[in-house]
Amino acid sequence: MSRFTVPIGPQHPLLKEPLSFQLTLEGEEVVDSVIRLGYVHRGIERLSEKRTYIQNVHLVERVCGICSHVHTTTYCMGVESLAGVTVPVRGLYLRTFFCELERIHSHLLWLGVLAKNLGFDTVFMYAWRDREIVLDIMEELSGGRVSHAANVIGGVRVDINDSQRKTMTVSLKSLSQKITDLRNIVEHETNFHARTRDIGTLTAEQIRQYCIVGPIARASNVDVDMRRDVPYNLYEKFDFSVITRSEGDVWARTTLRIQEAQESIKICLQILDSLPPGAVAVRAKRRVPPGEVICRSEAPRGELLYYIQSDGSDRPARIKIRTPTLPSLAILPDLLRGINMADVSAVVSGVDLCIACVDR
Amino acid sequence: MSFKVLVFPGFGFLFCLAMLAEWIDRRMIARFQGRVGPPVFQPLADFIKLLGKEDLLPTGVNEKLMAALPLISLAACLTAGMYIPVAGVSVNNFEGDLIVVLFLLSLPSLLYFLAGWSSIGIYSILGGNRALLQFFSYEVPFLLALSGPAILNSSWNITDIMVNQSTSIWAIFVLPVGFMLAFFGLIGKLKRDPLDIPKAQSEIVAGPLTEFSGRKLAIWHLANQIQTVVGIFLLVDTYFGGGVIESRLATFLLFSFLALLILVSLSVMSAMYARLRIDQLARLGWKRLIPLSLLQIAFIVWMGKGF
Amino acid sequence: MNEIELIITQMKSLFLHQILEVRFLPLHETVVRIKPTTLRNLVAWLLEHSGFHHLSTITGLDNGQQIELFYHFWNGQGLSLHTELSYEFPFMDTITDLIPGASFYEREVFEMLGVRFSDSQQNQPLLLPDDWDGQHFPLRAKEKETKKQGEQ
Repeated sequence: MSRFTVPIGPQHPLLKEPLSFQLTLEGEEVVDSVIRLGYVHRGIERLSEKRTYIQNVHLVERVCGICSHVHTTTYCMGVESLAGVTVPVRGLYLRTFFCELERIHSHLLWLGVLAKNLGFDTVFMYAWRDREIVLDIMEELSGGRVSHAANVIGGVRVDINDSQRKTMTVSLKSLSQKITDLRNIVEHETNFHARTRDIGTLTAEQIRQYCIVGPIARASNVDVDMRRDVPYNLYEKFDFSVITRSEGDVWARTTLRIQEAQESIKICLQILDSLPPGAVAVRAKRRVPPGEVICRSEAPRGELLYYIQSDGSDRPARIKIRTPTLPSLAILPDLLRGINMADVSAVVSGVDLCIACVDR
Repeated sequence: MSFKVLVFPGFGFLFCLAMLAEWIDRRMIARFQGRVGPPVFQPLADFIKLLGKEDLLPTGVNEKLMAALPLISLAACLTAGMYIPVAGVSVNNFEGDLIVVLFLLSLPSLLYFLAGWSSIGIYSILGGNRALLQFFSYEVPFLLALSGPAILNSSWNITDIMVNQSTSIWAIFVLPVGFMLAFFGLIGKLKRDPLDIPKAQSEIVAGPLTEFSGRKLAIWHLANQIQTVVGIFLLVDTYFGGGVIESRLATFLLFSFLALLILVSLSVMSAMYARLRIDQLARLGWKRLIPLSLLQIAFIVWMGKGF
Repeated sequence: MNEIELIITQMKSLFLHQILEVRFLPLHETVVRIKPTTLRNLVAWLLEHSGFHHLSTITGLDNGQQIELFYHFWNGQGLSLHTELSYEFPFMDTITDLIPGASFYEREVFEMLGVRFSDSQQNQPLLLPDDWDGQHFPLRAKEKETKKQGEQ
C-alpha cells in the first residue's frame, strides 16, 4: 500500500497548543512521525536575564498557562534559598494550597481534553464544569483564574480569612464527590475502555531510558514524586499517598490522574483545616548574593527544575527551566510507530503535552 | 403535485422538521452534559449564516462534482421523505417503496465517501475510506433489520406495513432485536456519536467535509438533518405501526411521541458513549450484528406461518 | 557518610584528575566540575554503578569566556556534572546512546548555544524557525551584545 503523509498541526483540532507532527501512514497505520516544536518559543530564558528578580516572578508565570503557579513557586524557592530568605509558615501553606489546586485543575483539564479527543464530549463538559470550582477558589483568593501572581519572593501576596476557609472547605468537598462521579463514568463506559486499554503503553524501562516523570511514570509503576522525595513547601507535614499503577497505558494514566486529584483535595482540606496564623510574606532584598541553585518541584505533569545563577546584581545571570513534558515528547515517535491513525488522538493526549512549557 | 414536492411532505415540511429535530437534539445533549443549549432558532440561524459564508474549494478538484454531491444527497433524502407516511398520512406509495427508500437513504453515505475521495485533501480521503468501511458495517444489519417487519407483514409497501400493524401487533413487540439493530444502523447511517468515525474531529478534522464550506456545507448539514428525520419516521412506521389508532388527533400525538422518543434516544446515545475505532466497529458489525440480523430473519421465516 | 558522598568518593578515586571541584548546594544538590573529555565515561559509570539514571536536563550557559554545561541527574538527591567548553572547540560527546531521552536536551543546547554533539544529524531545527541560518545561537553572549547595540 502506498505511503502518504498526514500533517497534524500546528493547527489541528487534536492539539490545544501549536505543535507539528508529520505522520507517515500506510493505510491507517502510522509508520513514522517527525516532531517540530518552537511555534510558541518566546525566549523566556533569554528575557529573564534582562529583568530583575522581582519582574521575573511574573515572567516565569507565563511559561505555562496551566501550571503557572508551580513555576513561580519553584523560581521563588530558588531565589529565596540564594538570598537566604525564610518564608513564614503561613506563606508556605498558602503556596502549597495553590500548588494543589493547580494540580486538580490540570488533571481535570487533561481528562476533559482526553475525553474530547476520544469523542466523549459529555465527560469533557463535566470535567471542565467541575474544574470551575477550583478556578473560582483561585480567583477569589488571587483575582486570577489562570495566572494568579500569588507568589512574591519571600512568601505570597494572598491570604485567606475564616469565612473563605469555610466556604472553600464546602466547595472542595463537593468537588471530591464530583470527581468520584467522573471516575464512575469513566470506569463504566465500555467504549472508553476499548479506546484506552493497551494504548500507548510504556514500560518502566522506557520510562527510565527516556527520563519521563510525573503521572506518566507513576502509571508505569515508577514510583517518583518530588513532593515526597525532596519535601519542599512543607509537604512532609501533610498526609497524602503517592499513587502508582502498573499497566502503563492511557487507561492507567486516566484513573491515576483522577485519584491524584482526590489526593490533592485531601491536602487542600488539611491545609484549610490547619492553617497557622501569622504573616504570609517577608521582605526580600532586591539584590541577591552571587551563587547558584538548583531547585526541583513536582508540577502537575512531573518534575520541574530551575537552575538559577546569580552574579550578585539584581538580575539573574542565567535561568534554566526544565519542564516535565519535553522527555514525554521525545518518546512520542516511538509510541506512535505502528499504531492505528485513530489511536493517535489517545496517545498524544495520553502523554499530556504542554507545548508552551516545552518551547518556553 | 408541486404542493406535495414543495410543502407537504416535501421540502418545506421536512426542512422545518429538520430544524426542529436538530434543535431538540442539541438541546437534549446540552442538558445531558450540564449545559443550557441553543435557543430554538439557532439551527436556522446557523443554516442561513453558512449560506452567506465564502465558498472555497481546493485547487484541482472537479468543481461541478463538488457542487453536485451535496445537492444529490439532499435530493435523495427529500425523495425518500416523499414515501414515508407521517402520522398515518400517506401521500405517495407503491408496492416496493420500502426498497426505494432504503436505497435513497443509503445514497448519502456513498456520496459522502465520494465527497471525501474527490476533495483531494488527505483528511478527506482518510474520512472517505472510513465512511465506506463504516457503510459496510452498519448497512447490512440495517437493511436486514428493516426487512423484518416487511416479511412479517408480507408487504414491501411502507404504508401497507404500517396499516397492517395497526390491526395486528406492532413489530417491535415481535422483533425487539430487529429494532435495536435498526436503531444502531441509523446511528451509523447518520454518523452521529458514538459512530462519528468518518468525521472524527480530533483525528481527521472533519473527514470528507473538511474541504467544503459555505453553501455546500450548509446543504450537507441540511441533508443530514433531513436524513435524521426521515430515518426516525421510517423506524416509527415500520416498527411501531406508525402509531396509527382510530382518532386522527390521537394518531398525530402518538406518532409525534414515538418520533420524539427515538430522537431523544439518539441524543442519549450520543451523550453516553465515546467514539469507537473503525476496526472495532467493523468487528462489532460483522461478528455480532450481521449474524444477529440473519438469525432474526430465520426467526421470522420460522414463525412466519403464524401470521 | 551518606549516599552522595560515597559516590563522590568513589568517583574521585576512579576519575582521579578528571574531577576538578565538588560544590555542595542547598536543597540536596551537589555539583561536580569535571573535564569535558571524561563526561561520557562518567555518565556511563553513573548509570552502571549508581542509581543516578534520571537525567533531568542539560543546562547550557555562556559566561562570556566559555560555554558551560550542566548535566542534572537525580536519584532522591541531585547530582549535576559541570563542564566547560571553549568557543574554539564547542564539541561534546553525545550521551544519547546511553540515555535516549537526552536527544531533545542536546538538540536544544545545540540550537541555543551552538554546542555540537558528536552524532547530531538532525537537519531540521527543533525549536528555531525553519529559515534559521545555523550560525547564530540565541543564548550566546556575543548575540546578546549585538542585540543590545541594535536596540539602542
